[in-house]
Amino acid sequence: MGLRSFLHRLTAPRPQSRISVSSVKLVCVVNQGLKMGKGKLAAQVGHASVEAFLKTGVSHPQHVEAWLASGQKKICVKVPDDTAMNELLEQAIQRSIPALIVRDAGHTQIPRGSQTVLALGPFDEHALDLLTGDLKLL
Amino acid sequence: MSSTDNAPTMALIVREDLNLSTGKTAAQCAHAAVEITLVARRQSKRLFQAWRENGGRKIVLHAENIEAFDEIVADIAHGIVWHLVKDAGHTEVAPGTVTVLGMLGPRRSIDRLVEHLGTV
Repeated sequence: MGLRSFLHRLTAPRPQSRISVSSVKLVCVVNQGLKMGKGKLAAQVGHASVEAFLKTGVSHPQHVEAWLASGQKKICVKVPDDTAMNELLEQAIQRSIPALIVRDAGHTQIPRGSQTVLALGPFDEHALDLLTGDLKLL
Repeated sequence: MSSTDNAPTMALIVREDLNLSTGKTAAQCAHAAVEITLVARRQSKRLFQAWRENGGRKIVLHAENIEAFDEIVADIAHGIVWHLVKDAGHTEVAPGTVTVLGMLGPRRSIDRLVEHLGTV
């Protein structure tokens, strides 16, 4: 390989197809401050996952395709309260990680408008780990 | 009677005998919800739209075991989108274990199918 092509290989932008199918995941960050029951929580995480994959499917279709093709990898972690969730949302936005917060309709268990789950992704696993790697699993 | 009385509902039924953790239960239910969304968006556009427009109602219930799932599936009528989640088995359960039965349909049809089940 000539020096030129070697340099090109080092500096060329990564083609989109290099997004490996095993490296995309969805992180659901649960607001532990609300003390939701198991079923309520499952419904909220379900809600977050559907919203996230529909929304990110528009903004980052390749990530979502890779995510669907690789078994929809998903992890649930927790934060203590609204403040921690909002800080995480800010950081995600700064890092251009797709993010959305589920606000509950308030039919059961908790007040209307409560922030129940922050969904991050589906996105590059490494970028997500840098942001959420220290959070405890649900 | 308001028009939302029969608005589409998604029921996510979790197998009680597996004793899944809270996080695992949530992840498996989310898996079912996403799969059903994918199918409904393609095959039952009106149902999907009506469900979304009415807030994407979801209920989480539990059934005793896999036989209880089979009985429910046998009763599923035309017009209901459903999916059985088979776990990849990375954590908690063996690969291929069916963990959650998810269904999306008109509220009254779903209620009839799950009226004997308790909420989680």
